[in-house]
Amino acid sequence: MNNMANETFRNIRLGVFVVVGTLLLVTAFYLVGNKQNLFGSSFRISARFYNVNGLTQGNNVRFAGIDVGTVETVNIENDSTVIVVMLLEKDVQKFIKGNAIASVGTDGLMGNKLVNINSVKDLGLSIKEGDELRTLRPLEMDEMVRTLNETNINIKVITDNLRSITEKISSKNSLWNVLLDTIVADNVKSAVVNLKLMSNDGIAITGNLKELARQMRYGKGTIAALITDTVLSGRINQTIVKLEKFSDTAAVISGDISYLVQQLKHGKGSMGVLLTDTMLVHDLNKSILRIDTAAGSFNENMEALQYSWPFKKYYKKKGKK
Amino acid sequence: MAFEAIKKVLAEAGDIARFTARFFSEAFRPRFEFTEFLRQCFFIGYKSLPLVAITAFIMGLVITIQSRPTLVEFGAESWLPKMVSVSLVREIAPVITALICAGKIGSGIGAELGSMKVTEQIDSMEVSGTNPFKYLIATRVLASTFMIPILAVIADAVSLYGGFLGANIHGAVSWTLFWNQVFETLQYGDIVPSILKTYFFGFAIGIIGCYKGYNSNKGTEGVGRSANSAVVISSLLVFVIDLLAVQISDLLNLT
Amino acid sequence: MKAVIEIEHLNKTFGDNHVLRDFSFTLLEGENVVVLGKSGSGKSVLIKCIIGLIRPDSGKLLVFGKDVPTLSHKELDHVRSRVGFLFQSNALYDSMTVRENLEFPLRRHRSELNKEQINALVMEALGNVGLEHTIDMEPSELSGGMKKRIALARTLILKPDIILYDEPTTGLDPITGKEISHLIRELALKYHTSSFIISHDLNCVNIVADKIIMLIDGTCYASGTMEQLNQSTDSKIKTFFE
Ligand SMILES: Nc1ncnc2c1ncn2[C@@H]1O[C@H](COP(=O)(O)OP(=O)(O)OP(=O)(O)O)[C@@H](O)[C@H]1O
Ligand SMILES: [Mg+2]
Repeated sequence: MNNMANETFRNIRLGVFVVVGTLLLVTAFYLVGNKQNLFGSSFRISARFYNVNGLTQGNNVRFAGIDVGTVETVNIENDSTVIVVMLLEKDVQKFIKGNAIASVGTDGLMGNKLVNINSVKDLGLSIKEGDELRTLRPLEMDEMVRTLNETNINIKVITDNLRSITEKISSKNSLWNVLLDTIVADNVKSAVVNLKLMSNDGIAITGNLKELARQMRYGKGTIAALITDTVLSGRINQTIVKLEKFSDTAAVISGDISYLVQQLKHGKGSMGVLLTDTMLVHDLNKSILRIDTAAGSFNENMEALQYSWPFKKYYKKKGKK
Repeated sequence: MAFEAIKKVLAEAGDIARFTARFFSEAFRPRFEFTEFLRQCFFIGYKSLPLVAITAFIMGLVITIQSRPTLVEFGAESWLPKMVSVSLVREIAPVITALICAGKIGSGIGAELGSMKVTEQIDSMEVSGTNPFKYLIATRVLASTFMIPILAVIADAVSLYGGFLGANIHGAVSWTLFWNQVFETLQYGDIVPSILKTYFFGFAIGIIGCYKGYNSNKGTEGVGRSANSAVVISSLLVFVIDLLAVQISDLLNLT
Repeated sequence: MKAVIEIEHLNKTFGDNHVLRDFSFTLLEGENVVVLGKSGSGKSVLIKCIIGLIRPDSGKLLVFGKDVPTLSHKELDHVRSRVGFLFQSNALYDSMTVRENLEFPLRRHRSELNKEQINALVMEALGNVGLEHTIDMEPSELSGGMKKRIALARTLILKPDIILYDEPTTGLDPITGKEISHLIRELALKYHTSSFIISHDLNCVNIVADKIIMLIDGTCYASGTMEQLNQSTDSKIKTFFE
């Protein structure tokens, strides 16, 4: 009967083999599920964003830099709101306060999108199931570069407008035309509005860039090595300084011009005064010069930035289009 | 000439399809040869384990070592476990397992059934009141369908272990960090399709081996030929199925 | 005496190869009939038709009064449990030991038996062929003659009413061939079986045959005892006895 024993022994080994294989698979499923929060106790919270920058289901949620859950759903609520529901581990519930702020970020420069939950200093009550977090608009490189570019184009348009105005003012023949031409006045007015807008944009961008530079310096993200490229970070800092300066200039110029327009519009002083007021023309010329130099140096910076690594990709893509 | 060859291939494909249809019509009707099924599971699954494990281990090690330089170039050395685990689990371990089994099991079944055929053992079984199709074919096809996925899971694990050792040749990745990164990277969309396709690999290997062996004819020389063409066809089928599986999972967005 | 196998107008072709033409023959209970025929004359085809492994094209083929080609699986299995078949190439299962080889038909056809009964039958069958010591060996460890004996034991283990032998002595030396032939005769007497034996070994024919039929050109060309056929003047028959 030794073949019976043999058969049994064989079946035992087969059993071990099958059980080991199955256990491995089950363990793998459990571990994968664990990372996705499918098993174990969890709770749900949500946050409303203006823009989620490609955040999708399954992206990680970080609290104080630790993965604590995943994004369960991303749904559009209306034209300006996206609601993100997150599934978090029960264990961290007591640490997240109601006034914490959620923001959409990126794991490193090229990594996956994720939701960062940052706590705010002052104490509050712990968050509850179903609560909604406050949000921050995410820092988005693409958008930033886009705005910078627009600013650049705007500057050019404004400069051109102003230049044509001055030219018209300078040439004596068309003096009357200038004064009668309400379009010119409108042009000037819109130039001013643009300039103001732009200077606001500039300020926002500067803020973003500062944050980016800070992140780079602290080597957030996986490919830290690439980011600590000091040349790049230096360049970005330079851009910030220039931009700040430019915004100031823009503010000054817009001030000048609105004054000018006001004078034109309300016909302050006699027409003759206006016509002979070479000072004004001079002023205007100076303004244009100022804008030109500001825009010039800004352009230089933009160009430098284009060849820096993280932006290269963006420009390449743009170039293809 | 070419026409003849194509006709032959198509005729064979039709034959294999009919054989497969017969498998489905007979395999799931009683009586089920459970003892024989277990025996075949033992030979097909357990007996292939050492070979599969060694190959998987080496593949894991080698892939890791080979991937490192490129990642280092990008300064993304820390991504090594992630990258390696995805390529091992999704593609390399299942396909290597299937190929090894196509070689070992496909030729084994082809030769065994072929020699049973030419020495009239199959007829003898039928005379002894046994449906040889159930006893020989169904058990082998089912055993390889169910054992190869298990082998593939073990191959996944072993190759990842090889990857762990490979990652530690130049760098230092702790045991915990390695597995943390692996399971952080792997999603159900990586594991489930890769396991599901191995069922089809197993089925193909079993059915081709059996078809070739069962239809072996020309004496002992035919046995060798059956074994050989079983290996060739089933290896080819493994790749075709792999291609299909990848395309399907891509279509279903499981990637 | 009752007829156990009745064959009438049996035809079988493989493509253009007309193997059996209008073959008719009757095997009576307790009879030992030897079929003589050239290699390739269709002897194996005939015997496989009887057991239902090959389906004839036309004709009647009754075994125990049942028309084999028309039987269902279940009925066919029942007929097969009463008909033993010794294959030309022994057909011992390579992957099984001698014991498992002998147990196989028992487990299949007689599932009501318990372990002890099976064991007793196995030992008895091995005793009949004098090979008890080989019980745990594998077929690859046996000599040709031993294989034939084990195959014979396996055929006998179900105590069939008819045994079909496909060239039981081919490939064996004359002495072993004779031993096997005597064994066939002995066992036929012991278990009261009818035998249908294909052979072209005259030694075997001499020992075993009660009656001989000649399969020539796919038909039953002649039949009779050894003496009758020996005295025949037909040239086709004569070639067998030279
Ligand atoms: N499955 C088959 N398909 C096609 N032809 C076959 C098949 N089986 C047998 N034949 C043909 O039938 C004829 C008779 O074959 P069979 O095996 O009955 O010969 P035999 O009389 O047993 O010869 P031997 O004494 O050599 O065993 C041969 O010509 C063979 O080619
Ligand atoms: Mg023959």
